[in-house]
Amino acid sequence: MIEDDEGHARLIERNIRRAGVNNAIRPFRDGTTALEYLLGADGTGEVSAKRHLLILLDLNLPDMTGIDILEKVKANPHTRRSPVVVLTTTDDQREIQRCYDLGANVYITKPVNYEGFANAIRQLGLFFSVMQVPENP
Amino acid sequence: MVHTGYDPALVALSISIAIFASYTALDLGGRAGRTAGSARWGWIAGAAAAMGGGIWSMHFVGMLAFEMGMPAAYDLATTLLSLAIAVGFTGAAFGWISRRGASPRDLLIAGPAMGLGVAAMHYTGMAAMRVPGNLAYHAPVVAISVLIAVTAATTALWLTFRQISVAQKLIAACVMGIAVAGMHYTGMAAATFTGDAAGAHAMPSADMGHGQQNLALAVAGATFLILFLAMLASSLDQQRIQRELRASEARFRAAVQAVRGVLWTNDADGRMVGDQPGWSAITGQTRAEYEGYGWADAVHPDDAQASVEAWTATVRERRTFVHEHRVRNADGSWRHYAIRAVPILDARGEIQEWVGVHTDITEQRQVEAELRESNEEIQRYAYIVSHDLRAPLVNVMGFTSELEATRTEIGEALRGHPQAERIDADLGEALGFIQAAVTRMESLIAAILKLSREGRRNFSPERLDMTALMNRIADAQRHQTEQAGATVIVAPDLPAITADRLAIEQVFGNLIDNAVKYLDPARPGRIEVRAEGVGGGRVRFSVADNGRGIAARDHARVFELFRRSGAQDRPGEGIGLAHVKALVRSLGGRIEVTSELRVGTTFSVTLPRGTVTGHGQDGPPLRLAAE
Repeated sequence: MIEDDEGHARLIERNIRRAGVNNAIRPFRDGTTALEYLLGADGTGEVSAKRHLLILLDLNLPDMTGIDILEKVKANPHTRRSPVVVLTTTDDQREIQRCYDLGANVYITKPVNYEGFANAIRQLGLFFSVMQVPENP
Repeated sequence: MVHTGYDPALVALSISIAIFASYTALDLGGRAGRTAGSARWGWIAGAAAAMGGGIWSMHFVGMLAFEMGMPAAYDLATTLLSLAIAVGFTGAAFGWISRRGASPRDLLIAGPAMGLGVAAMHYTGMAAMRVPGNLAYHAPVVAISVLIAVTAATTALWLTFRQISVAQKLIAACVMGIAVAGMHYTGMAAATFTGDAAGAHAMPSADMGHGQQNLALAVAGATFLILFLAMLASSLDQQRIQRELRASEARFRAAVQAVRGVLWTNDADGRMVGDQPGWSAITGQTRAEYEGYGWADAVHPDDAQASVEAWTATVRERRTFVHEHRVRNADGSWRHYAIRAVPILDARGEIQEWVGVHTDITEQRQVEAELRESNEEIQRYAYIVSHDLRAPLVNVMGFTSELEATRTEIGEALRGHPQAERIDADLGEALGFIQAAVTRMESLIAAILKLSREGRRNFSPERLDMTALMNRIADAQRHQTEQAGATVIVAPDLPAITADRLAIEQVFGNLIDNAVKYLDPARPGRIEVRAEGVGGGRVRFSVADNGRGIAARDHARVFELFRRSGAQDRPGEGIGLAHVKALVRSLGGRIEVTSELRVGTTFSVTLPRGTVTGHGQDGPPLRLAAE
């Protein structure tokens, strides 16, 4: 989970847990550490081989935009199969199109009122609980 | 047959009258051609009187110069008739030929008419002569005299209404004077007098000679006096014109300095010619460099071709030239100029030259660019702020809900505690206030976000039938309108405009919606949508209601974000008019409100008819007042 807002990260985690998802969730607060985890310190992506990854990605990050991460993840042979769920407050049409063009699997706008937000996250949790995540090559 | 002869002094006098009269007529007639209005007819009447009266006077003196050895008397009525014929025909011919739009063919109508008039005058004058004897005419010579009259008159008219110099005028006057006199003496040669011997001796010829000479001198004197007065009037007019010309030149020079522009002139074909001190001063180009289309070398390479094309198209179509381009100044810097040039027409409507002004708008352009930049910055800022403000809000709201869940757990844990109920109520109240405040904050942020989005939206202008569009808006709100017992009246003849459909619908949808929302329950609502053309290719649409009205102190406030006026008894965020104002501004228009409490409100939206291009509309070509 790449999300710079600690509160959001916490709320997302709580709601996903409530939906019964028990997989490990690794939160990252910025793009650099997230990329290091995904592609390794050498940037080859070999560290992600054989991993089962589902990436939850916020687009507004302090050190880079989520689109940069999306681009690198989808261009790397070891990570490109990992489903990427873009979760952000922006509902700019061009940005949504750009994300799907780059290979994002799901784009979700965070509803601003909490009820909507919590509902969306719970649904997402339910979705995750039935979702098949492939092993990376 | 009586012996006849001519008094040479009187003959010379008659010819000089003819020449002087011709000159006066040419001068006055020429003045008529350059004057407009009632003064024109004054000059034409003057020219006709000078020409007709002068010819008649010449003729009369010529008659007196004729010595036929018998006493002659003149019938007053017929003599005056001959004068009237001369002035009348000449006046009619001058009037005909000097109409606006008279063609060369008109000369062939007016000229012969005037010639025939002169001939008629001559032979009427002859008929006024009471002589003791018979008068016979030799027909072929009469015909020649008429021919001379027609030719002389046509030439005279042709010369009168042409622009000619003083020297040309003098020569023309001599030729015409001699032609007029020639006609007269040819006419005289056509006449044969047969004397009556008894009559011839009835009066001593010496007395007769004196009488004739005195009469001739009196007529000639009167004629010269009249012609002299006419010339005096003409010269006073000339002085007035020159004064005006000097004043106009001084005004022109002052205007050039006042507009801070650089003035230049081009010839009728659009080539830069002659001295162009203004252009040389800014560009440093020499005459050889800027002549023809050389000026384009000083124009920025990116603008030069477009400038030359626009200029040649303008010259071809004889329009007003409105353009902008960058020019390299003598110091090597590029400056931005706005150009406006107009053709100057001469009296015949032909282009005489082009006069243009280059106005330096570099600073203006810079300020505009800065303004645009800061506008964009504000929009970006509004977007970022509203966007970023939402993130913490989600946390506030989210953890409030978490607290809500914790509250239930606290309730469980405190079961049986004496303060349990109070603690739960306090928690509930605090959580309720937090949630209400967050909901409010959320809607305000959403409003700012929407406004900043509108500012960044791209408009796609299309031609809009405004009557149909307004009727559709009114129909869409018919339900609310009918519930309020109101009627919306859309004028059937609203002018079409070219603009973005969605933006226009939002603007007028909001205004009509507001009008329906804030009606006065004291009277049935009546909302009228009208339009009127205003200058500068703009249309002012107005939405007028007879609703509750807006207090004068709130007129400016109603357009501010989150501000509302009057009793707060209707749902709303105070966003609509701020949104409308932002949209109208983006469309290149302006919005104003006039309102009176308890009487009604009118919102006026002034919009350009077409898309904003920044080009002014063409004015009519200039005509020189004095040349």
